[in-house]
Amino acid sequence: MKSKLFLLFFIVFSYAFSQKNITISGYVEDKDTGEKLIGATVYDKNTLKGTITNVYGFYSLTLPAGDVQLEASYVGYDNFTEQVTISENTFKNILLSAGESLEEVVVSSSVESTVEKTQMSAITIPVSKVAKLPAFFGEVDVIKAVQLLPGVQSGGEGTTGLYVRGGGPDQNLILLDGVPVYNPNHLFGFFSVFNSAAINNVELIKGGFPARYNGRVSSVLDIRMKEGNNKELKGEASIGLLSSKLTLEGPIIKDKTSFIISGRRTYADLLAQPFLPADQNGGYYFYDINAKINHRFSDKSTLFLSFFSGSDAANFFLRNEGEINKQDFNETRLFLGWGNTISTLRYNHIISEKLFFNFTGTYSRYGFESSTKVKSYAANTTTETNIEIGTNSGIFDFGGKLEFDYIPNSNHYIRFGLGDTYHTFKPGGFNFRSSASNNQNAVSGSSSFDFGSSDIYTHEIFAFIEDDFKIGDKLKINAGINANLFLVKEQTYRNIQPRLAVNYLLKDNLSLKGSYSKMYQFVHLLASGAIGLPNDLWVPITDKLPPVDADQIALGSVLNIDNTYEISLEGYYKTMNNLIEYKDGASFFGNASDWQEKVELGKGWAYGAELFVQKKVGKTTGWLGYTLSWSNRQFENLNNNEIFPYKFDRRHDISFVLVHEFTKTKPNPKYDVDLGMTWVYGTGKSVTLPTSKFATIAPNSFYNLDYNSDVTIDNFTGRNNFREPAYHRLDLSLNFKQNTTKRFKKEFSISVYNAYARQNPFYLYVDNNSLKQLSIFGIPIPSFVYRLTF
Amino acid sequence: MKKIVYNLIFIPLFLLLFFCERTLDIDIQTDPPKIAVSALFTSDSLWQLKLSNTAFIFDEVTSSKKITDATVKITNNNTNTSFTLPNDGTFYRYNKKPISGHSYTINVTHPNYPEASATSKVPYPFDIRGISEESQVTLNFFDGNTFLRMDLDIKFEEEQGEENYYMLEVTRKGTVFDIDPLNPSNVFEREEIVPVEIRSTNPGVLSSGGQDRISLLFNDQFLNDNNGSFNFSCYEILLDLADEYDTITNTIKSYKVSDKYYFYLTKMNKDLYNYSGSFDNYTTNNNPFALQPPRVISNIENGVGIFAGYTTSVDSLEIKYKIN
Repeated sequence: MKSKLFLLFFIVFSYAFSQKNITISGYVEDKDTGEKLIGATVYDKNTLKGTITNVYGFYSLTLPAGDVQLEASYVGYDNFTEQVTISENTFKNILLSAGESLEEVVVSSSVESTVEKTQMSAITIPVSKVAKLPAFFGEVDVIKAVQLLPGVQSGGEGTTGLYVRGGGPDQNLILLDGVPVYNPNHLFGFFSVFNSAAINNVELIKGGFPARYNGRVSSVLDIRMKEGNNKELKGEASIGLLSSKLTLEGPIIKDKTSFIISGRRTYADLLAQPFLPADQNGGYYFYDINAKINHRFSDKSTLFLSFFSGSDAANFFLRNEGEINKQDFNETRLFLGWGNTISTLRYNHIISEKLFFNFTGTYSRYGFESSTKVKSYAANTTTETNIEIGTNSGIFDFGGKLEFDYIPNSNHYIRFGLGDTYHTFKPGGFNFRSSASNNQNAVSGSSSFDFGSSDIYTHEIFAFIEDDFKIGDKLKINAGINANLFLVKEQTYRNIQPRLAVNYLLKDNLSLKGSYSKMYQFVHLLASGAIGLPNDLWVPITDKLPPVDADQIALGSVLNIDNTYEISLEGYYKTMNNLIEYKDGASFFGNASDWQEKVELGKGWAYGAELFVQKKVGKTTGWLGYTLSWSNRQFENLNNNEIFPYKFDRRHDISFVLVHEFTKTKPNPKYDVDLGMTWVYGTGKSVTLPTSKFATIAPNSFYNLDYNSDVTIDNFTGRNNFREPAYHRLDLSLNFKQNTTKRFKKEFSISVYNAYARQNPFYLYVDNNSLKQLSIFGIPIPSFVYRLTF
Repeated sequence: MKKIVYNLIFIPLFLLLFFCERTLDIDIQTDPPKIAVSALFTSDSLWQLKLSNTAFIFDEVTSSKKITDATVKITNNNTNTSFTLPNDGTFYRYNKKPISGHSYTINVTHPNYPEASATSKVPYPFDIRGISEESQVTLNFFDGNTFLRMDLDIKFEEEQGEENYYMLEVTRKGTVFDIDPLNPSNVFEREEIVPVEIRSTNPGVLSSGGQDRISLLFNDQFLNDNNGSFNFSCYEILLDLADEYDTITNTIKSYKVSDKYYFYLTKMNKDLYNYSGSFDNYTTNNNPFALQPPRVISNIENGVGIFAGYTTSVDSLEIKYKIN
């Protein structure tokens, strides 16, 4: 099998080298900011040959020597057209001006029509368009926009969890500038860590994964930060109900070195501070900082350094003073903190017109810690006692990656590369310190101890090669393979992951697509609940728990109607092995010290169909997404080995998104005014509830067995045996943007979350002989944001 | 004033925004009522069992739900003989003892419920061959208590060729000092059989008995060798080992020299092991923090509860305390 694949690539390479043409290559950039444009189309109208820019904005187009009518286009930009005559290999940067020609596009893969692309099950979301949608508490959040796409479900009410095609939240490879983000949540999952002001591009891939991706089995969410304006200093400041943001970007050396820095912080803790009692203190906040600097050594070499740091912190302080002796006191300090730090060093070099090279060095850290400190002082004995209890966990990654894009001609786009990530897993530690002292005796006693799971060190090594090639005018294929090694303790896992995607053009505006992906995953997330709690724990596969593997096939069709409507229909079938589920009654707070004792191994499968109808042009744009899906699990030691529905098995899932731009056709309006609306509907999640109860003897002591005592037991007939009520919600937003030639431009947005006050289920439980539902955000929640750009 | 503003404005606003609770008027699909069997039997005692029924989840379960008019037939599968157990108003009893090594099947019939059945074997009696003390360590815990940890090894007769499951329990006959929390100088002494907290360092061994951790559930794979040897630790709060307690200063004046400990080792089959383990899991973890609700694993076909044989062996050891 392997030898046949190598033979195939050899033939492909030979074919590629046999072509003798002239190559025109370079970057496509925003004319005003210098920002690289990802996924822009570059096209020769004479030969009808074209290509798209890669994630670094690079393109390479090999054409016969002679006259070329070069055209470049990108969402929201005026088309670029130039007649050139080429007689030798040419390096040419193309500058596009922001314009109106394609601004109407709401969600698109790129200007290259989705109909023509080999890639299926992938959607790129323009961040500028996300800002027009209703925002939860005024926080524009790309993850919330991703949740509105077919095949993607959210977790609990208001949370940023992603459940893609029946997979779990740990099965999504979330990349920020190519570095995995392990905890994308702020505030227990109600907001994501991605600050939209610093983001350039977001792409979600649900199936038909290209070979360059590996490590997760359900989706890839590839988020790219802006590079920073290299022409002039620009900024944006905003103030909202929850947080404020400031973004600055500009050149350090014009056209050579630029930067962007963006920060955000919540201030609920600061606002509440004056109202807290004197003997209490505390609060909660989160912040994040995105920063990036890039330097262009030459037209062919660029260095990037990007940095992200985001943290959440909750603390509480309480002081009690003695009633008799005021000098006596007892102080309690509680702290809960978690956060990600990510750093990327990237070097791009155009080796030749046809060969692009990228090196990426990465560092990623996610950590969680909590502590409780109690300090007591007794004045009569001058004794001070201190007790400190702490827990911590986390994951640290160092990685390096070499990637090459080789574009021998307009019929082939070959990518290959290799890399290694060194993971350090800290599954959880516990420490205890205590001491007592007084004036007479410096230290009268102390004790301390630490315990917990020991650190685990692993290597994740991979190599890949893929080719996106055309056969004739109608058939396009992306074939590739990803090979990887995972080294954990004494164990080495070797895996081969073949990938294939095919696109057949039935008509100019109608294509048929199919794909197959084999994916492996080497990490698990031990989640302590449906919401993204910070103590959710990333753990590696072990000798007891082998890698998760998934096979996914998908078939679909895309129809484009007059470049106004785009309709895609896809069906998929996915099988997953070596999934983990918590044992009955397992709890994060349980007494089993080894996390492996809390879980069971099993399998799952998901299948369904997704309909995506977009209106891309006009004053009113938007989309309708509908998903019909099934997602089931089977575990030998759970539910009597019977199949049960996955918690997020939702039969029907609908999202309706609408943006209406009132002033779009008016000449020179003072303000641009637009209305955003989203409505979502989903079948209720499955949940485990008791169906009966009975009294039984307590079998937990045999020397003292008491037949007269009964204990009442809730009887659960099956896992996830009950459906919560359906989830639906309407959100609205109204945006005003000042049109002025002045440097400072004002924007104002108001949003209402849950406009018709639907009380959706957050948690169901049986209490006082009735079934109760706890809802959060069960009333309309208004919010506003005031924004100033300069 | 600040406190009033905080309490009057922020807390209700927070609750209003974030949490709404309502009772759902939804039909929960429920199984028809089934028979619940409580039958644990050993060759040392007469046949005795209790029956009740499962109730709708929103009903009250009380002793009034017990079933006293069912036909309960026990069949000895080794001798192929059977007998019926009459009900005495609460229990179904029969004036014979189960026989070690024999397998029994229960069939419960009642016109209102599906017929329930189960099969279980009474394990053969076995001997505890000895208990040895390995070490003692004094530990200071953050809750303010000081513990004495005694590491022990129990040796017993292990039935070869069978998958055996065990529960270990330890008690001590000793003095208990009950301190009045409102007035610590009031200390009440009493003699009683005290269950002792026991633990194993092996994470696979189930520690049961609720928060008190008074028993250990384990199977053959956690034994040290084929001859039946199991390591465990007993934990005693030093206060409980006091010989004399000073009620004025609330301090221990002297410790006892030793106490006699009793070790109960119960052999059971996998069904009872699963039932005991899942029952303990249920009583310990049936709370909002459970990621999945704990389920009690029954061995009754068409019913719930347990029908299982067991045998218990007991031994004792005088342990001398080495308290620093």
